[in-house]
Amino acid sequence: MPYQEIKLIIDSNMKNVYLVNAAIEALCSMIAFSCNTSFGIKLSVAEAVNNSIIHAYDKEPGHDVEVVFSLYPDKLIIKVCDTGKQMNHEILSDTIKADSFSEDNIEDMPTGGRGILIINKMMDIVTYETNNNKNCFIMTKKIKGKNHEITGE
Amino acid sequence: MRLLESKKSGNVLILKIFEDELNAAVAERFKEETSMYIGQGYSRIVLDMTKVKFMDSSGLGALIFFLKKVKENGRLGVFGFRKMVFNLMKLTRTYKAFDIYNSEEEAVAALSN
Repeated sequence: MPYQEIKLIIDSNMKNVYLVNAAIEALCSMIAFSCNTSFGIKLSVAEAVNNSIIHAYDKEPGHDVEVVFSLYPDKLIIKVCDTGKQMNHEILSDTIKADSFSEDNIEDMPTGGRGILIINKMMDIVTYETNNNKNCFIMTKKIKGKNHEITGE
Repeated sequence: MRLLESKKSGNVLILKIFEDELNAAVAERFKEETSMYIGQGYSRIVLDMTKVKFMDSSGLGALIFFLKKVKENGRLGVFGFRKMVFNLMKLTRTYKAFDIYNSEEEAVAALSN
């Protein structure tokens, strides 16, 4: 059982990305993560939410994107779920395209497709599951140290 | 509301982003507005990133899109990357593609030559 759990449900509107970002920032400051870790978590959740809005729902508003933060003594698990189009599970492990370019040749440099790559680099464990038409990105960040609790103090 | 504010210094156009976040919500608008300036014939452009506290992969993609468009027949200088934003560029190995300067003055001087 997690220490604490917070659930956010946003409409699949790009403008709500700001809302999620602000919520994550506040949560991370309460857990007292380092700036780097907080940034990584915020970025990973933003990428997962973008993925739901852009790919699962084709940028169409009016659908739910659910973000669940579950805090355990040793880890933070964040789920980002949608009921839209399922992502190809192979994409999770295939981030070669986004990471294989020559820095000296900008023609080679892709303008997109880095979201999963970023999540994989920033989080400790990343899985993608579909159950009962609900697609969930499940991202785990391990917590080093003790007594992490969302207190707001 | 405009995402970018512009001013000129000699033959160099300076564009300042006026959003705290360069994210998926504004990436398309960034592409449109920067393309508009390129369409007006500006080829030496300095981008001021000082206000941007957060950038996601959509924002980064929009920056790369802009860089590619400018480089077709011009030069782009960027300054004002905050630490966390720059960390994303390091993580994705994209920072090397950009001409990054310490200040507006330095960027304008480099692009004026």
